[in-house]
Amino acid sequence: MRRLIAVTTIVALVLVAASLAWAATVKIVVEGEDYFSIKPSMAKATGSTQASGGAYIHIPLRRPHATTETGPADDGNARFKINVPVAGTYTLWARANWYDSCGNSFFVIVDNTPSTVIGEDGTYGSWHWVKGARITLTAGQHVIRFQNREDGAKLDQFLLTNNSRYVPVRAETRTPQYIIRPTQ
Amino acid sequence: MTGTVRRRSGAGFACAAFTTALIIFSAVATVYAQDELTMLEDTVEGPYALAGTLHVTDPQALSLLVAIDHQDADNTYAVRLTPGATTIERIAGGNAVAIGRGRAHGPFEADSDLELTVRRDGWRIEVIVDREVLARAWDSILPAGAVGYQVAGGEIVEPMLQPIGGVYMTDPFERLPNLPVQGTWEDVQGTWKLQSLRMDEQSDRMEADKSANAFSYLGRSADGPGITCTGYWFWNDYSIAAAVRPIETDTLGLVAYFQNPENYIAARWTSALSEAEDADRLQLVAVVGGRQSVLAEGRGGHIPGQWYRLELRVCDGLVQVFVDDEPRLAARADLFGQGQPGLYCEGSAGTSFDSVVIEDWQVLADDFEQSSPGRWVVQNGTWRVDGGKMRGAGAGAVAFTGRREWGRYAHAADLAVDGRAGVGLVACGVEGRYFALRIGGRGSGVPYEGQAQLVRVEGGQATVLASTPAAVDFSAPHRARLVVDEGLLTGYLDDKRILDAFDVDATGGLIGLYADGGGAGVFDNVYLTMLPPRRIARVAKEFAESDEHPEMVEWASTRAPWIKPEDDGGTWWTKGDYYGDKSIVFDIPRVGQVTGEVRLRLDTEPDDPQAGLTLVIAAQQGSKTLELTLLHGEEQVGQTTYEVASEPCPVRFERRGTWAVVVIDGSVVFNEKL
Repeated sequence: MRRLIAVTTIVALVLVAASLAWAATVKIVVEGEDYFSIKPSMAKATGSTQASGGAYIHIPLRRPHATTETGPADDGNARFKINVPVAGTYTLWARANWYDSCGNSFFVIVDNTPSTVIGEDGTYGSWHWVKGARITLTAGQHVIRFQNREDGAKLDQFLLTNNSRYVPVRAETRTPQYIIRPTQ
Repeated sequence: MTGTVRRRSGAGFACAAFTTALIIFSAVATVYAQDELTMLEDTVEGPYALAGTLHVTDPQALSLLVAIDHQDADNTYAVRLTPGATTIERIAGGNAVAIGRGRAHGPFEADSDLELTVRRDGWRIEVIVDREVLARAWDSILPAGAVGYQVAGGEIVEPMLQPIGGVYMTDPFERLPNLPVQGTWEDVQGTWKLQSLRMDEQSDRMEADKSANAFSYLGRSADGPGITCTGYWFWNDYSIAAAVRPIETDTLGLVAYFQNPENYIAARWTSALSEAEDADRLQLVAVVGGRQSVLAEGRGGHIPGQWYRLELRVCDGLVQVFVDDEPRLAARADLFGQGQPGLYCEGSAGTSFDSVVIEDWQVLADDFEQSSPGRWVVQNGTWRVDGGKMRGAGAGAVAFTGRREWGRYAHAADLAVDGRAGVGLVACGVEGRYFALRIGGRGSGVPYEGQAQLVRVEGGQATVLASTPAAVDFSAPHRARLVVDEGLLTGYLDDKRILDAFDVDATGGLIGLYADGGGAGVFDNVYLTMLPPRRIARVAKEFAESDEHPEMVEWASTRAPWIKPEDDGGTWWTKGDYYGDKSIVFDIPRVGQVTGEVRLRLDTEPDDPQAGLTLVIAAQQGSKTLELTLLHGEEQVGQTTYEVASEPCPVRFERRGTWAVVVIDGSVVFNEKL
C-alpha cells in the first residue's frame, strides 16, 4: 500500500511537472565556447570585449579571403549537445559577427537532418542576432552543429526558444541546465 | 484580478542622486496592494517592453495597472489606464508622484482586443495602446525591478517581456540575385529585386568590375506605394538612412513605425521633374487606417539618376528628415510609438536603394509647450514652466535632465534673460559635479558680465576653464550650444564657435539649464543629439597589398595609403590631407623588449616637418616606462613618463579643437592648449 501511494504520488508529480513544463516558455542559451566537440577550421577565440563571456568560435579568415560562392574549404564545425526540456517547435537564433558579404553565414545541422543556412544578412563587423530556421524538437538530447560555410564568420551564442514572438536583442544569459559538456 | 486599491500617504521619499524638489509636483498617493499583482516570471536585463493583448470585457469598469521597475508596492513605477485617463506615477517610499504626461484612450468597446505595450528603457516610460502613444514619462530615479500587472474589466492575453534597444542593422545588398534575402527584408507591397549591377550603361555591358557599386535593391510599384520592411515591431528610437537613386521621376522614400500597409509614417520625396500635382517636394506623411495626411512638407525634389542620402529619424514623437545630411523637415507625431523601418517607392520606373543603415537614434527635444513633471529635476534655484518656456532663477540655479550614461553629445537651447541674470547650459552632470557654458550678457550684473565662460562646478565651487568676451544682449533669445566630446567642451553662440576647454572628467552625464543672478533665465527649444561615431580612415587591403594589387597603390582614395619612405627610418606620410579634428590611434607592442623611438606628426607636411605637432615616444629594453615629449613646431610643450600596464599599449594622439591631447593606455598624459 505504501509503495502504491509512493508510485501514485511520483506519477502525479511527474504529470504536474510535465503539464507545467508544457505551458512554460523555454529559452535555451548556449555560448559558442560551450561546444561538445570542435573540428578545424572552426576554432575558439578568446579575449573579446564584445562577445559574451569574452569568447566565441569562428571560421578564421583565410588569406586570400574567399570571395565567391564556391563553397567552403573544409567541414570545420562545432557540435553542441543540448537537453530540450519540452517538445515543441523552436526558433533558432545566432548571435553572430560577419566579416563581409562573403563571410556571413554558417551551415546548421540539427541531429541528422539536412543542413540549413543561417546568416546571409548585410550587417558586418558587429555582433547581432540572426534568425534561423524553425525546428521541431522532441524532449531530450539533441545535437546542433554549426559548420563552416564561409570564412570570417563568428558565433558568440545561439538561442532556441519555443516563444515565436521573442526576439533577442543583447547577449543572453547562458542556460547551463540545458547544455551537455564532455565529461572532464 | 480585481483591483482593490488601498490609499496611503507617506513621507520620506529620498532618491540617491540629485534629490530635489520637482519642478511640478503632484502628490497623488495612490498605492496598490502588492499581493494583487500578477508578476511576470520572466526577467530581462536592460531595457524592455511589456507586450500583450488587452482584451476588454467591461469597458466601463476597465482599469489596468502595470507596475514596472517594481521593488515592492511602495517603490515602483505605476502605469494606470482607465477610460478617463492614462497616467504614470513614480512611487518611492510610499509617496506617489505623477510624472510625464498622458491622455485618455477614450471609450473602450466590449469584447475588443487592443495591442498594449509598456516600454521602459532606464529613462523613458511609454504606454502604447492600439498604436497610439497615450503616455510618456522620463525618469530614472528608481532602480530596475520586476514587472507585474492587475486588470479589472478585462485581461491581458499572452503577456511577455521583450528586450528592446540595441537597434543596429546595415545592408549593402551584396548578394547574388539568385540567393534568398534570408528574411532580412519583408516585401509588403510592390516588387523588390536585388540588383547585381546598377542600372546604367555598365549594366548593359556587364562590366561589374568597373562599377563602383554593383549591388542595390530596386523597388517598383505601379499601383500605389511599394514598401519593404525590416527590423522588428518593437524598434522605436532609430534612424534609417539609405542611398536612393530614382531611375526616372518616380516618388521614393523611407518608412518608420510600420504596422501594416495601412498604418505607418513615411518620408515621401517626389521628383523635381515630375508632372504630378505634388511634384518637387519633400513630405513627412502619416498613413493611418489607410488615409494619408501630411505632417510637414517643403519644396525641392530629386532629379533622375542622381544618388542621394535620405534619412528618416524617429524618437520621442519627433520625426525628422534629412537629405544628404541636411535637416529638411521635422514634425511631432505620437502615432504608433514603435514599428519597423522600411523602404518606399511609387511608380513603375523604379528606385534603387543601397547602403541602408538603421541604428539607435536618441534625441531630447523640449519646447516646454506641454508640462512633463519629473522630466527636469532641480538642483538649485527655483524653476517653473510658464508660457511655453522654462524659467529659472537664483544664484547658480541648475535644473537637470537626461541620463548619466550619455557620452558624446551636443546640447543646445534658446537662452534669454528676464531682468539681470547670467544664463547657460550644463553638461556632464554626475554626483556633485557638472560643467557649464555660462554667459554674462550686457547688464547681467554677474561677476562674469561681458564674458562667456566654460566652468567646472564641483561642491558648489566654480573653476573657470576658459573665458572669452561676449557682450550679448539677452533681452532677445540667442541660441547656445555646448558640445561634449570625450573631455573636450566646445561652446557655441548663435552657431559661432566661441571657446573650448579640455577636462578629463568631461566625458558625459546629465544635461541641464543654468541661471545665475537676480533675474531669471528664460529657456526654450532644448535640443540634444548624440554625436555620430568618429569616422576611421581605413586602409583597405587592396591598397596595402601592393604585391597583389600594384595597380591600386597609386590610385583611388587619397585618404587611405601611406607613402613608404625611401630610406629606412624615414617618415611615413599619408597621401591625403586631413582637415579639422583628427586622431592617430595605434598600439605599441612588446614595451620593454626593444629600445626605440617613434615620432608622430599632426598638422604638418613633408616640406616643413618641424611645423605642427610632434609626439615623441621613446622606449628602453628592460623598462616598462615610456618617455613622452610633445612639440608644437620646435617648441617643447610637454614632457613626461608613463608606466605601461597593458600589452599591447594603446596610444591616441589627437588634435581636438585648439587642444593637443595624448592618451596612453586610457590615461590622458597631455592636454595642451595650442
